Amino acid sequence: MAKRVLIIDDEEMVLDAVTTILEDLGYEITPCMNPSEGALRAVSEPFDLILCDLRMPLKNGAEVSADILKQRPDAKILIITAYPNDPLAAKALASGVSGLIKKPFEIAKILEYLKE
Amino acid sequence: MAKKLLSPLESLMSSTEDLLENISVVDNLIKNRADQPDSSEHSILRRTAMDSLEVENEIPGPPLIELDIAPDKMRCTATISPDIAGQIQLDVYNFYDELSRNGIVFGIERRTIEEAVFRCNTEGVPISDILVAQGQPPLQSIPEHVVIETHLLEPPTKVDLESEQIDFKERSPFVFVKSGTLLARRVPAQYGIPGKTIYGVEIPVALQQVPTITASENTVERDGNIYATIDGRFVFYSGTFMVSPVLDITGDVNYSTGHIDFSGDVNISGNILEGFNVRAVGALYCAQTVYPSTIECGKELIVGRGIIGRETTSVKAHGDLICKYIEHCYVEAGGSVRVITGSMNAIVNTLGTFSTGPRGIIVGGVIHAQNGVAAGQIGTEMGPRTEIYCGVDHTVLSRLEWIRDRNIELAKKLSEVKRSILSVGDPQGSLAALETKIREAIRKMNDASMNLVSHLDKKEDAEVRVRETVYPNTYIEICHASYIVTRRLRNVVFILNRETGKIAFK
Repeated sequence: MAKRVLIIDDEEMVLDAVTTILEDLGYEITPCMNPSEGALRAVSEPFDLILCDLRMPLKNGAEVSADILKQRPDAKILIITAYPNDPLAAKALASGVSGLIKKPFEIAKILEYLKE
Repeated sequence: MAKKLLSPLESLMSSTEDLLENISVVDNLIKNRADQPDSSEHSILRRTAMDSLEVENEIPGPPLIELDIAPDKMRCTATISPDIAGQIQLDVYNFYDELSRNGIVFGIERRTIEEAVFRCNTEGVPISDILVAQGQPPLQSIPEHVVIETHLLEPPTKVDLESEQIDFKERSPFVFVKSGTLLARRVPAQYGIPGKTIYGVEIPVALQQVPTITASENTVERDGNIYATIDGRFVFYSGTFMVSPVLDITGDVNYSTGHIDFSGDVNISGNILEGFNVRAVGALYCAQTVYPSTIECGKELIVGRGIIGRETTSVKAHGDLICKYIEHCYVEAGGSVRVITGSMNAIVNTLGTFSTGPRGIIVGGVIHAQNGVAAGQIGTEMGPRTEIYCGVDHTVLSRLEWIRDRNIELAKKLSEVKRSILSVGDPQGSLAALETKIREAIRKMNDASMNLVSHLDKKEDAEVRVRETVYPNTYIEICHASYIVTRRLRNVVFILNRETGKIAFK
């Protein structure tokens, strides 16, 4: 059974591209542009990995991650960020996300977290 | 007018008196000539009485021979004049007698003399500058010696033929050779042969002086030819030539040296000035500062002072890199990087460790050091953010990034094709075919990614050690585990906790 990945990102182009690439690698991808909706799906459905953009207009990735982890402390979340030393990224890390990946994505890290 | 008949005795007396009178005129003339300085290099050794008479008094007379012998006694020329009256023919034997009387016995050009005499007699005209005898110069004795190929002694200058301009950055005073290049030839000894003057006097053999040239390091002699055995710089100094694997540059790399591209080690006592590229297959040592330029070396790179860059500056060392400081540049090392005072806003990629001196700092920029980082200080209170990555091979990561970028482009194209199929349809099936092709390309890219990731060598024991202070907002990543420093920490070591997969510090 294919591993499931939820991607929460407000940039449609990036979302489409990452979805296409990861689907080709054999993963089942759930793309989501709305952060609140993404958080809801993350707690209501099982996902092996959640990729969440950090800077989104409606709700930032740190808040989304915190919401998810509150209800699903075991969720594996990787924050997507252009600047790894963004204070918001630090906040997300502090809330318990697994790690950071640089925009648009880092395939080696994603594969590693999916392998675990 | 009737001629008076003379008795034989009277006739003899008359003719004798005429002769004596003529002789006295000649003697006076010869005396006068002798008193005057001779402007010619050559001396007139003999003139006949009739010659003088003809020249000075224009008195017709018998044929005359005038010889001119060169001071070195190696050449004799003659001027012959016919009998004005045309009564007396010049005889070659008289000519030979004349030569003999002057002691000329060697190198006589008999055929030339015969032809000249014949012409003088038949045409009745004076003939001058006849080469009548020439000596044999000695053949000098030359010892065995070595002659360097001439093109090696003239540094090449590149000229742009279209603009007729010289690119002085491309101009080099150094001569670089490849292994197997013919450097010099051995010229065998030449044994001398004595010469002879036209007087028959032997001229002894002289020994010609030739410079002694010897082949030295990294050369080999085969069949009298001397070749380079390595790629390197051709050096000729004090009679010895060699191929040096080391290029020593006294002073800066600038317009006097041009760009440097050397197959061995390069040793620069000055700076590498802005805009001058240096490439060394071996090690590169620069005693002073590297200014914005492109540097690449196959072994270690040692810079006495700093590497100052701009966006265009790229420094690549396949071995270790040691310098005092790095500033605003891209640096890549196959070995470790050791920076004494610090790195400021530089991108450094190394497969070894990155370390500073005890009080050295890393401020801004991105450091990828597979085997870890050791610094006096990372970041500053208000300084630019610093990113430190350890544990993974940056070369693999950069290849993965390249694949990712191509894949994103393909994925975007795929989205466009899919949208087109939905909006305008695809009755011909060409868009569907294109979609299939793009998917195949993405598959290939992903396969390549998977292959690279599976071979990604991770050093889980890599650590980031800070002796003094690490400041907030410093990003640290060890084997993909992330950590952002949120408060000031002193004398700390960041490591990967293998159990949790997170970064811990102690």
